[in-house]
Amino acid sequence: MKIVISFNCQTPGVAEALFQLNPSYKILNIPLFNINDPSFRAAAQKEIESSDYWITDSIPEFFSSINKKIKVIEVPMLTYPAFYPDISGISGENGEKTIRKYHSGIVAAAYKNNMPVEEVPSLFNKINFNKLGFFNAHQDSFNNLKNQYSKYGLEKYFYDFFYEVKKNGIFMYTATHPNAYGHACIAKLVNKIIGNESNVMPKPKDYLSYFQWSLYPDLSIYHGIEGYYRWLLKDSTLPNEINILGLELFCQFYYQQYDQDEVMKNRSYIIKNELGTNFEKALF
Amino acid sequence: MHPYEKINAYQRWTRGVAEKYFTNFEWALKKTFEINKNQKIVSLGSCFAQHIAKNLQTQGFSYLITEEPPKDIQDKDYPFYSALYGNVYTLKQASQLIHRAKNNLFQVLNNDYWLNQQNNYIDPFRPNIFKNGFKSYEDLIVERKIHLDKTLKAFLEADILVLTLGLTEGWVEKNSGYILPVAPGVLSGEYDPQKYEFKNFLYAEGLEDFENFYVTLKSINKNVKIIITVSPVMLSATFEDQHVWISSCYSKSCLRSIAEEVSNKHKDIYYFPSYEIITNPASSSSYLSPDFRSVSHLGVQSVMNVFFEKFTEQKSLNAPLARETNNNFKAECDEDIIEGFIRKTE
Repeated sequence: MKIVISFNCQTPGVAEALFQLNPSYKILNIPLFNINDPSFRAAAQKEIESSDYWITDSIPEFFSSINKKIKVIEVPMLTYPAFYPDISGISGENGEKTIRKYHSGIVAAAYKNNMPVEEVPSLFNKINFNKLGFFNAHQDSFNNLKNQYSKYGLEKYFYDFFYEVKKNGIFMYTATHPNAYGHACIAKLVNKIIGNESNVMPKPKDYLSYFQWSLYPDLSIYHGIEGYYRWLLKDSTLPNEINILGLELFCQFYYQQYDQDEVMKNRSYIIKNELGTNFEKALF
Repeated sequence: MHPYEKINAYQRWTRGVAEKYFTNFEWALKKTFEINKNQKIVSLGSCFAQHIAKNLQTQGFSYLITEEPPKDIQDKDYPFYSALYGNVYTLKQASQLIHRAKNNLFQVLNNDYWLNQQNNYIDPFRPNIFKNGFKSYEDLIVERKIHLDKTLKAFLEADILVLTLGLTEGWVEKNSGYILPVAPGVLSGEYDPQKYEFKNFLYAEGLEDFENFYVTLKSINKNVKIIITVSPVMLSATFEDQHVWISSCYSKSCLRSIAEEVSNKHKDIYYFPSYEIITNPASSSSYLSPDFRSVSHLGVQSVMNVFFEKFTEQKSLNAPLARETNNNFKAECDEDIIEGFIRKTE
C-alpha cells in the first residue's frame, strides 16, 4: 500500500503518525508548498499517480488530469483558533502586503490607535476578551470545523475525531498548527477513512512546536490549564527564533517591529482572525 | 413527537458536555439571586468552604467575621471562618453546633477535654483551632462560651449563609451523642472504643440533621438565605472497610441528594454546583491537584468564576483570587492530618 499525504504544514506529523499505525505501508510526505515549480509539480504528480491513496486538504486544478485509478481522499486541515483567538495579521494599504503573519490583534489595534506601549498590557483582561468575543471562540471554532467536515463529506467521522482530539486538552500551538497529539488524531481519522481501525495512539514528533502562542490566563481557565504569557516566535518575517516571556516584553517587541517596518497607522489594517474579530471596533 | 424534542441544549449531554470545553458550560441554575456588597456573608462547612469564604472577601464582599483568631495564634496561614468553629464536615456537626450556640450549651461532652503531651487542655470540638490547648479546663470553658456567643452572632447577623457539605463519616461520643470534627487520637486525645464510635450517616439521617439545622437557623434569623453546595474534596480516609473511592462516592452522592431535596423544598435555599464544576468528566481532572483529591487553584478559580457570574452583579472577578501558597492563604483540612498520621505510623 502506498499513500501520499499532502497537508501543507500538517503533512509531516500526519504522515509519520499514519506510518506508525501502518508500518508496512509506504507513506510519502509531499506538501504542496512548491506547486508552482514545474519540476516539483512533475515529481509530485508522478508519486501521486503511482499511489493507492492520496490524502490531501485540497486538489490543485492541474491535477484534474490525474490517473483516476487512485483514490483521492480530501480531509480538511485542522484549524481551531479558540485557544489563541488574538492571533491575526496586519496588512498595508489595500491589503496588498501582509507585513507580518502572526500578530496579536490587541497589540496591533493599540499601536494603530496610538496607545502608549506601557498601557497595552492592561488591555489583556477578561472584560476586553469578552468584548472581542473570545469567550465564544470555542463554539465558533467548533462550528467552523464541523462545517468543514460537512463540506468534505466527512460528517460521519466528525464527532469521533473532535471528541478524541479535545480529550487531552490543548491540541494546537497556533490557530492552524496542531501539536503532536493533534497530528496523531488526524492520522487516526485518515486511517479509519481508508478502512483501518486501531486503538493505538501514534506519537509522531512535535513538528510544529517551533512556533507557540501564549495561552492567556483569563482564557486558559476554560481550557483547564494555568495560563501564561510566553511566546516562541519563528517565521519567515522574523530574523531569528524569539522567545518572549512576559506580556510587557511582548508588547514592546511588536511596537518595535511596527516602527522598524514603518507601519502606517492610518493606512494599515488588521486582518481579521479566523473568527472574524474586529479588534479596533471592539477595543477603541 | 416526544418530550425531549424541545429541551434546551444544556439539557443534552452532546450539546451540554461533549461539545463543550471544560467549564465552558451553560450552568443553568434553577434558582439564583444577586448578592450585593453590603450583605453579610457567613460560611460554614468543610475545608472547601474556606476557599469560597476567602475569595468572597478578596473580591470585596462583606464576609462576616464575628470571632477573630486570638492574637497569639494569628498568622497568615490561619484558616478562614466566620467564627472559630473550624471545619464542619457533617450535617450532624452543623446541626449540633447551631443548637449549642442558640442554647449556650457549653458543657455537653462526657469527655470534655483531652490532655496533650504538655498537659494542656484541648477542646475536642476544636482541636485544630487551639492546637496548643489551654492552661486549664476553666480557660477552655471561657473560650468556648465566647465562641458559642460569637457563633450565634454570626448566624444572627448573616444575610447569606454559604453552607458546604463535606462528609457523611464522623466520630461520635457514645454517651452524649455529640459528633467530633476529627477522630479522637488524630490530633489529640486517645481513641477508646468504649467512649467513641464511628458513624456513617445515611441519607434520611442527613436530611433530618439538615432540617434541624434549618429550623434552628430560621428561629435565630428568619431572613437569612442559604447557598448550599457540596465539597468536591474527596475523603482522605474512610473507616468503612471498603475502598476510599467507594466511600467518597457514597458520601458525596448522599450529600448531593440532600442538597437537591432541601433546595427544592425551601424557597430560600439555593444550590450551587461547585461539586459538578470540579468533577465534571470533561475537565479531565485538571481542576484537581495531582493527588486527585484536593482542588487546584485553577479549579477554585473556575468555581468562583461561576459563583460570581451567577450570584453577583459584577459577573467577573475584580481582583486576583486568593491562591494557596506557603506565604498566603491556605485552606486547612483536618482530614489531611489523618493522612499525615497514617503516613507517620506506617
